Amino acid sequence: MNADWTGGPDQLVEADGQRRTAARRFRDASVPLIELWTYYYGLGGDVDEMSLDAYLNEALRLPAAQVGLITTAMNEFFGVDPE
Amino acid sequence: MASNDALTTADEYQDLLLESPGFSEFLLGLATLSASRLGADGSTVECTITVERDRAPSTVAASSVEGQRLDETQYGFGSGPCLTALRQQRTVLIDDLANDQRWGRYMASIAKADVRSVLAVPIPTDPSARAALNSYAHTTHAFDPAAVALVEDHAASMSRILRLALRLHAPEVLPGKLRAALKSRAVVDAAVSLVMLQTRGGRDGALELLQAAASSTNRRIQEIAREIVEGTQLPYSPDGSKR
Repeated sequence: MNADWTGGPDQLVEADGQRRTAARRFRDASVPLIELWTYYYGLGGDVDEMSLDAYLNEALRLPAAQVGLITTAMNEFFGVDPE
Repeated sequence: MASNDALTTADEYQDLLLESPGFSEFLLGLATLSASRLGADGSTVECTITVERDRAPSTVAASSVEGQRLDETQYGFGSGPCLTALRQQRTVLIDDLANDQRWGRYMASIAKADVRSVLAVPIPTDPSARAALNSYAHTTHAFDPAAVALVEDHAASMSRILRLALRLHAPEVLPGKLRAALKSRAVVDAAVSLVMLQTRGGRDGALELLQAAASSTNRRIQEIAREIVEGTQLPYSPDGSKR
């Protein structure tokens, strides 16, 4: 990943790939959304539950810092993704 | 002599409150104490105490497993002598369970239990809670008017200590998971604030730093944050190396 985040087409593709992975992990874990959101909130997460829902249904893009927190929340809550 | 007894009782109640780690332990102590006091003349009495609080699940304490089961049966049906005493705050006496028609299904379900008479009396509390003391006896007509008066006096004597216990052990406002999240968030926010100050950076940068530190050491963000707040761990620079 480029250190210089410009939001160009390559980064967008990468972000969407990351989002797809997150959506798949959330579906596979079959954990209620509110539990994941509560955990993510505990890590310092700032977006509301509805935005997290939209993100995990690949309908919304979120700032990189929030994406990182969502990934971390899943790692800590579900266990690290084997892939 | 009577005043001496009253003093001893008050002391016992206070000791019980001081020695109980939580509300349910306190209530259990109170139920056990009631059973030994009310059964002092040789007859066996099982006692349970039920407390309902606003915004909190009800608590039931029983001096015996049988008493516990009898109370739970009432909760299952949503009606019974003790629930009536609790909710209507009046004394309910059943002299002979076999011949009482008031709580048909409850009676049928406890017919196998070796209980013949029931006395349920309210314990006065604050408006935010309701409590009742329930006594079960193995003989019919176990509670004559004198016994009813004794149990009512005993229930009244518990009122003050119960109100103190309700204050001391106020119900948790948040269930465990939410409380854990709030605690974690508070630590993370404090750590983020410190990192921002030390790096003269923004919130996003500080969060990324925490995540980098957590993933490079394979630990949870919360642990890293706690160490930063406690001052045992210096923040990492953004490239992951220690300052």
